[in-house]
Amino acid sequence: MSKTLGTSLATLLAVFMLAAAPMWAAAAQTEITIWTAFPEMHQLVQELAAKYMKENPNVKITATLFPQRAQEEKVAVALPSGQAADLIELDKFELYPYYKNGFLEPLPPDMEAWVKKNWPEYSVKANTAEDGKLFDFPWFNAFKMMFYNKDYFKEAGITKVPTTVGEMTAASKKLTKYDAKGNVTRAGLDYRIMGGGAGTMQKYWTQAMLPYGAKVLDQVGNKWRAGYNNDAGRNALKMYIDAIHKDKVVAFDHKHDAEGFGLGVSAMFQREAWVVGYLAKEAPKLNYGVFPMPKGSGGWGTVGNTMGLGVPKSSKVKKEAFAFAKWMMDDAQSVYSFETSGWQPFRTNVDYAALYKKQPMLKEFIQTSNLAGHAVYDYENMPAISEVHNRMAERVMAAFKRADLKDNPQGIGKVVGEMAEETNRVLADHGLLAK
Amino acid sequence: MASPDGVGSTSSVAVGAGVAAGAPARRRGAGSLQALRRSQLSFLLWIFGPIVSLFIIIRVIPIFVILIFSFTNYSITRPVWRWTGLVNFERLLQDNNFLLALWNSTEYVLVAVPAEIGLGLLFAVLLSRRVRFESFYETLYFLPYIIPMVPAAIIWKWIYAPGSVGLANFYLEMLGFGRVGWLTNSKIALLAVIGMHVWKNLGFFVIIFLVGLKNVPADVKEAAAIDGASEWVKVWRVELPLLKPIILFGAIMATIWAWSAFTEVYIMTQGTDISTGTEIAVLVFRIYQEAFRFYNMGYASAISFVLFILSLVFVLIQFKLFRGWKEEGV
Amino acid sequence: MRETRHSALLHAALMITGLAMVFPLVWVFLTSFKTSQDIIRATPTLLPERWTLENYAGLTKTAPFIRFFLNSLLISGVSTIFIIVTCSAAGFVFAKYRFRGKNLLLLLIISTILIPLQTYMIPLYLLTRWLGWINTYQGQIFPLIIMSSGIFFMRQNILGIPDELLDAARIDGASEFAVYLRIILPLSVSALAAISIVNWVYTWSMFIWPLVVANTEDMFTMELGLMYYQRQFITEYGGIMAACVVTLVPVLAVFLAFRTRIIEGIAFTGMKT
Repeated sequence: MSKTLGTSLATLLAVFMLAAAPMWAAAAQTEITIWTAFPEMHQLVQELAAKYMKENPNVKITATLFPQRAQEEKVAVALPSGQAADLIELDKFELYPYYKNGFLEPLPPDMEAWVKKNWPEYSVKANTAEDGKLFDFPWFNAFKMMFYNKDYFKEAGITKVPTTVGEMTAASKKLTKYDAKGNVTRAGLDYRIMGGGAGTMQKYWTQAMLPYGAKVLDQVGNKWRAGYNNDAGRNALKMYIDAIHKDKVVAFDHKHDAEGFGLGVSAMFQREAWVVGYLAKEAPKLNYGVFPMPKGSGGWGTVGNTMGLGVPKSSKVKKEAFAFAKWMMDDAQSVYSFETSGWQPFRTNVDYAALYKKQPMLKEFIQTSNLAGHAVYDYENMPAISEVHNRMAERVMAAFKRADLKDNPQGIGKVVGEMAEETNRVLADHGLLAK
Repeated sequence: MASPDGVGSTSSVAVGAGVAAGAPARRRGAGSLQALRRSQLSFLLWIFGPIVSLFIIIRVIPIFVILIFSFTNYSITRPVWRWTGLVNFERLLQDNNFLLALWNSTEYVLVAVPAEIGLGLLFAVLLSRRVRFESFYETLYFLPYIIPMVPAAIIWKWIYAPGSVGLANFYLEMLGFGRVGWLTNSKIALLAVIGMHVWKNLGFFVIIFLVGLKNVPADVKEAAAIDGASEWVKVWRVELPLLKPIILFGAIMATIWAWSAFTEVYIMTQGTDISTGTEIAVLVFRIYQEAFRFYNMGYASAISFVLFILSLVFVLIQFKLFRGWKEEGV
Repeated sequence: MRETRHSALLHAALMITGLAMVFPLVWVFLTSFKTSQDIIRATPTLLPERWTLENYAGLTKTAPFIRFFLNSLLISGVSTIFIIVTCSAAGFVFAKYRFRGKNLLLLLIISTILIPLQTYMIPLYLLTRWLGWINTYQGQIFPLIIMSSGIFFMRQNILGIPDELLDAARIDGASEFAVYLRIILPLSVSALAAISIVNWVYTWSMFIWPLVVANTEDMFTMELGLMYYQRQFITEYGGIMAACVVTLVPVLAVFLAFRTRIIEGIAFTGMKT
């Protein structure tokens, strides 16, 4: 009898354990969800996740892709209701308002220490909130440099790469080509004059405002006000107006951006490191180089804005999410990311030597990130920054179309003045306007 | 017993507190009337009621919530909000972006609706002349309607692209004409986008008008033919008037689609290579921008409120214009 | 003689317009067979330099498009079935019944057509969350089971069904349900086919609602899938066009299937005496 009882009990136990096993396995597995904003990023994350899951079998990572605009909407709807993924990839200036309103988790002390040790100072500063905490992981750096077509430079007899704005604009005039009717067939410098809202403003900021020393925002204590309603700001606009309507080195009706550069429709243009990978694939024979943004009368530097990873407060697996994020940014993964996605990781203290052999141009980007005297700017940590930049973008794009602003200092002054008024109004609406 | 316009008169039996108009057949006894009433009440309760309830939950309540938001400073990212009364509306009146969007949306309606109705009727009439390969043509006209907006907008960007890159300009130059700044010329950029909008929706109108025309009774057409009416008169005097309720429906749908156009405008302003500026922004674009880029949900709701009221006005005007509401007592 | 001249002109007009309408789609189709070098050119060419199937082959590699396809099929299908029932029943009541407040209710329904989904998306999302339907099929479908414009359209069409028909059935003892099923529905087939197509197209190409409700890839629709080709600054045109062609097929199929019903169907829509 006891034997039968014993066997039955054992069988029961075995059956129970067998049935419960999947439950246990599932319970033992932590699930991390991550949302990315671009296909290249998504692909990268999937590959990294696969690697991580092999090393950490108790973790399951699900990556979902939402393209940039959609990602913004999705996060806007999901994050405040606690329905967002555990890791969210977005521009840091978009993550910041959520942090300010208590929806994001700041980096825990050990992560913070690690970032402070391994990231450039300007990056740490740009991602620190007023309370002194890091509110996101600075993952990638949209670091801008000037691309130039070496063949065209040689053809125009330009032997030295421009180091000042004056040299650059002079070169752009020599490099432009026209057809019989006066249309631009090759842009001397493909200024970013249309498309995509805040992006146009970002390029304008880098190309024109920085070298003249015009700041988008002046900080006064913990308040702000428009910092460009001055000669510097006016000169910045004049630079573009002259380029479009006076010197005519760029026009509206030719191909622009990386596509245009790859097709040889422009001699110079401003962009980030991903273009290197794009050109390797689409225009492998193009003989091009890069140089740092040139010095201007008011400053020298570029914009390297952060694409960051944020963790919501509502996440149930914060610790694991942070751990995965940290792993994605270690040395080995940084090299891999740079190579496959084309995006420049923020970490400059990684040994990318092997990568440079395949893509020598990428060395320039990393080196320039650490160049002495060359400042790297990012968006200010302020809730209304997106609105300020988007509204400025609309105004400058409208201004670029106005031929009547040529040789018209009053006109330019009026445009800049009205723009600053609007910036200040937005700040006032948010209670952030300095007196 | 049809009224002259051909739309059946309604002598339905009233239910509940309504007044019975038009007597049902006298042969019925009181019992049948009660049974009918019971049956109709039952239908209302079990079928109509749930549908209306669903409608209230899915549409009316969310819209009502939005209208409430327009009186607050609600922001998606900010958990605390407060009542601000008419502040958002006051700001609207001075907001140049809003006023421009209002103008653009109005222009959109004034151009798109006559184009869609006019061309729709034209092609529906042509197709209803019993042409060979009719089904082939119908499919051709309908294809743009069913293609997703994203690839369609991309193709149109190519067509409209500036310089000699764009297909339109390419062919224009080949024929000896000058280039047109379809998207770069602020004056015609919106018209170019409307053009795409009309292209995309035309098939819908051709189909619904075709349905209506096909249902014109054969004897009516024969009677007109016997009277010696030419094709043109037949169409204008006989067939089109019978189409009034469908035209009214079409006009209202066209107006609503034009008024709430968003995707095509949005796609046209994006992209670093071929895009317009935001001078073509329409109302829904502004709503989207304020809500999801600037997180000003309260202000965005105020714009939605205005959108709603103005749409209502447009629709009511059209009802009055058409008087296609053929029911007693209205 | 007049007839032939007329019909030739007719054909010419229809043909030219037809080709103009379809020209952009021809581009979509041809582009889907081009390599990316072919697509990004300084001057556009109509025919591919080199025909390739790589865009189609790459579809399932880029994303699980088959799953997306089935999801779209499910969502559009269920939605369309629902609106056939809800629009015809509600249209019937609005056309043939009388009760206080009916016209007000109709106006309310019509007026909600005037507000696009984007504007009231947030409260709807909160409701979906409360129901626990985020990232589910029900969540994506439920706002699509009623169609205000469909109700309006069915009302306009059912208005033309002669009351004598209905009264005759009622006299014979038919309940309202029977009247609905045996008279209204069969006579509305043509109109129902029309709104089915409209709803199918609308739900198939809907973007914003599936976007906010779906959190994981297995819930995505085909329209969401198209965004896989929208890289940060470049668009993979070849891929989008291929995905677009694939997306078109079921919608086109539904249209062709219903077409005869819509066009050829002779229904009592009030136009007959």
